[in-house]
Amino acid sequence: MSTKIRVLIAKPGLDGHDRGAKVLARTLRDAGMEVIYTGIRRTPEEIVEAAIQEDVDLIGLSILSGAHKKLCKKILNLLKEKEADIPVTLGGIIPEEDIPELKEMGIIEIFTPGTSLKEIVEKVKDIAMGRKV
Amino acid sequence: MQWAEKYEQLLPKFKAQNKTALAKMISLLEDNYLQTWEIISRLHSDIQPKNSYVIGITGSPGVGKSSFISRLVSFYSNKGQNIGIILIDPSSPFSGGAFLGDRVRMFDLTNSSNVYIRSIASRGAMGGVCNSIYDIIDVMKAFGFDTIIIETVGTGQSEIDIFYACDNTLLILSPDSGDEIQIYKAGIMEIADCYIVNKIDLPNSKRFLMYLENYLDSQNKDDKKVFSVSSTENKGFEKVYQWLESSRKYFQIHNSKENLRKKSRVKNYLFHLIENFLEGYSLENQDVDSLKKDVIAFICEEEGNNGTQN
Repeated sequence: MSTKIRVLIAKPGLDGHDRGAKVLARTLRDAGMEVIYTGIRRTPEEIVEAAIQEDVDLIGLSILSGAHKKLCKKILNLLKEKEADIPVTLGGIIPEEDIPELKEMGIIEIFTPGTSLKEIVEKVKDIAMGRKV
Repeated sequence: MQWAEKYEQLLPKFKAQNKTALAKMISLLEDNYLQTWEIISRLHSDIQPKNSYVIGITGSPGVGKSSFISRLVSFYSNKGQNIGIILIDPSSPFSGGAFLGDRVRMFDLTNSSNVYIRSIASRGAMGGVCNSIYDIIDVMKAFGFDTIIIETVGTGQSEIDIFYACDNTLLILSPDSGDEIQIYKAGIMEIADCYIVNKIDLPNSKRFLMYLENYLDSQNKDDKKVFSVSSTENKGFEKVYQWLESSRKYFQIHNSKENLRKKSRVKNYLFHLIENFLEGYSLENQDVDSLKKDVIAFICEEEGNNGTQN
């Protein structure tokens, strides 16, 4: 019996630009994954609770508002608090200089503008499958 | 890890009403379809399931099933009930992937402590639900929900498996669902115990309600209920809630669908096994008689191997 990869694509915070999140959700769908989409303007609490209830293998955050450091920190802390061992990736408008800090925080992979969809699919697969074993 | 080992790990937390354990138990069933019967019978020997009331919500894409559920559930949860919700969306026949978007309409319920929401992909099932639906309901009953609500995929005219899986079926219609002719068609229009005309704020709603009531009158279907609601304006839900609660009492005494349900469940399981078998089978130059024998051998063998395979 093959197991399916389940991914939560989430948009935290006050940021209504969801084209990227939707394109990515559809791309992952076409790569054979089950993608749960949260819609825009979700709180970190809602995202973490949804990820737990849906038993996803990965959370993909999309942030274009500039508030990525605060939002990521909050989400990672909540996951830790709830003992949910779910890897988190981030995509959107993320300045190069913020990347080391975000990775230090625990964001496992960061996809900035220009990353090919193929690369994202491969990395998401690798990370999610790593958790399944 | 084998399923039995995972199951044992999850059980104590599951018994302690932990939502993470519930979520993982559902995944365990979905990922180990061939071992389903064994997992469920273990669960039943470990936990006495609750006599939960199971409501099915069906209807075409876009009629407002998710928004309706969102409104209905806040009603239930305000009354202090524990609610489990299963939202089913279709899997792609090409990639096998799915875009599960029903949750978007009910995010305000996500952090309610007495509500659990799970999105499920249909994974090739054609009846409007998923192959594991009966098992997921069993898990939710064991977890102890008072009410379980299932939303089907956006259905057409003949996806009616929800009728077997739940106690009461609610068909959501929208005033722009079509003319009178659509109402006369067999299939989904017949399986509903209750018709919900949503979006009653739309201009055509009165005419549509008249068509529907005329149809039900002409069929002598007095026991079928019609309610009109508006999810955007949050109107009409109190009456639906009251009807559902009186219906719950009936099902708790009669359990009238149990035999139908068992039959459908077994059929569902066998069909799924056969489908899996045919997928990896070369059908070239195959005569049906010998194929039949192979299928039977496969199913019997499957049963013998149930405990050891993973």
